[in-house]
Amino acid sequence: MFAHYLSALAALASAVGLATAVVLFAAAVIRGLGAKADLITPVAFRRARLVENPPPGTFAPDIAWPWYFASQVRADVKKVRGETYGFYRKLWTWPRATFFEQHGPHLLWWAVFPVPLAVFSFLITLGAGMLACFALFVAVVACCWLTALVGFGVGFVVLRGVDATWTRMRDADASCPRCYHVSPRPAYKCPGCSTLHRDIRPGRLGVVARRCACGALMPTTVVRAAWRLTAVCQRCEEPLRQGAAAVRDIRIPIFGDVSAGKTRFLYSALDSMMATGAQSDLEITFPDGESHEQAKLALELIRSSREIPKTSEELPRAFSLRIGSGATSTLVHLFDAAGERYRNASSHDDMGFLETAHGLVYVLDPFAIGPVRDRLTGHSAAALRLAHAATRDPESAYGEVVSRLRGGGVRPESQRLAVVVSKVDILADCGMEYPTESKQISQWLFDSGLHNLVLAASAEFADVRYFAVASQATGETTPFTDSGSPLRWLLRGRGVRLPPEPSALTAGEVTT
Amino acid sequence: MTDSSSSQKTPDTFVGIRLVIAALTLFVIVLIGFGLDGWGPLGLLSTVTDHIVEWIHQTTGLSLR
Repeated sequence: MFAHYLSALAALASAVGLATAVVLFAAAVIRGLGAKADLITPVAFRRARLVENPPPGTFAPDIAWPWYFASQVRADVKKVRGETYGFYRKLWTWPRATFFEQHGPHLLWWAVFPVPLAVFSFLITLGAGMLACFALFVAVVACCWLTALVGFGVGFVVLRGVDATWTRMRDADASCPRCYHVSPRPAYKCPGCSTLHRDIRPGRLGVVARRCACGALMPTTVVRAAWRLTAVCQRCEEPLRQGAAAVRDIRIPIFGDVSAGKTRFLYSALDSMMATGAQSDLEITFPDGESHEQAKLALELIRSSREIPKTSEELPRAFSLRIGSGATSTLVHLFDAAGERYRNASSHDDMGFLETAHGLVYVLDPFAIGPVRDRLTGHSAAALRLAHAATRDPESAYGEVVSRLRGGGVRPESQRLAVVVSKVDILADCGMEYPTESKQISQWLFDSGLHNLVLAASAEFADVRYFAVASQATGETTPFTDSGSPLRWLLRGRGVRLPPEPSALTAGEVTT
Repeated sequence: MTDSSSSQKTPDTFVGIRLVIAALTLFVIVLIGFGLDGWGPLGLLSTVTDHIVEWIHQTTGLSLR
């Protein structure tokens, strides 16, 4: 009978222990996930990543809240386990001290055996119950983890794939107008705290969006970030044009000797582009204030037939324009360095834009060609003075740039070259006839003593075309000497859809 | 790696996921509880309860049903 009584007591205590286990475990979860939760902050996560896997590049990982299942989940499970164990250990404090204390009157408790039996039954069942609850919790977390991992994997692959495919299809890059650094994606400034995020792609810091340490939400793909965040150069942190790395990016340097007419060509080409664009409702805008101001000033000068000031000998900032609008637009960066910079090989080292160019424009002053000058001497000296002719052999500037390209590891044979014979309006004023078709221009240059240049260009570049331009406002030039033609030819070669040429004639390929 | 003393606000996504995990755990515990009593989708667990109840009855004379 006594044994039955003891068993009933133990069973009752166990039932109470089981119920208490559920309640205590619930309290442990509330404490572990809520009130006393350990939070893995962005800085702590980055510190751990740096220790585990030091980045191979220059920059440390970005500071943003990690994806919950990347690290926080482990901390949460650990905390709940700690809280559960803490509760259980606390419950053992009194029985341990009471029943196992070797000194004092506590040993008397064993005299009333049913009490320790009930207590131990309660505690053992409670322990088993809490352990079972914790096991259930871990199983639930594991299921959530697996589900999230599948979602993460799908999101990661899809979003990265979409991003990479889009940028590859659009031939998009992030090019810096100041230091000329070109990277597949820019760094982005957090809209909340301006902290730089150097790798915005989907990853452990977020698949669809990431949360900066300051709490601001940022999109994860370059395609979305390009229009919502401020992009900056990965190297010099200069702000980039809106849409950088998400729209087609074309870089075209314009080179030639001092006074060859590079800057005048640049702005008259722009004037022509804007005129043809307006006729066919093609939007041409300036993505930055500096380019906008520069264009406004220069177009005024070109349209009023005034002189363009001499280009500064400092390294040029890219003059940028946007053709079209939105995600399908094209950013065109034109680099117009002073002719002095091409005069010696050492100053070429700073001109990184040559190495990342998609096409080149070589502006050649016809008045710098010896035989042409000889023909003009005497009867057209005034016109010659008016032309502010370049003084150096045109082949030198060309040769130095090509050497620089080869030295920088660039293969000119993969690029297009537009050879622009400038100032043909002055040539006409001097009574000289000039050709307007590519083959004829190359022959004319060949006959005028530039045979080395003509032969070398056709051998060294993938495609060469010759243009004769007047470098005047669009209304003052003929369709055959339109300054926009060289740029349009280069841009079409990169897949940009442009309105047709003003001239019905198109220049032919060089077949030297 | 953890930083419990941080003054940074816990992101809402963390709170949401924790709530889901806690709710799911509670749901499973309740489900098992009902199952042990013969209710719900885990009603088969009541066979275990029956064995225990029978054992207690034989050992202690207590009748839990």
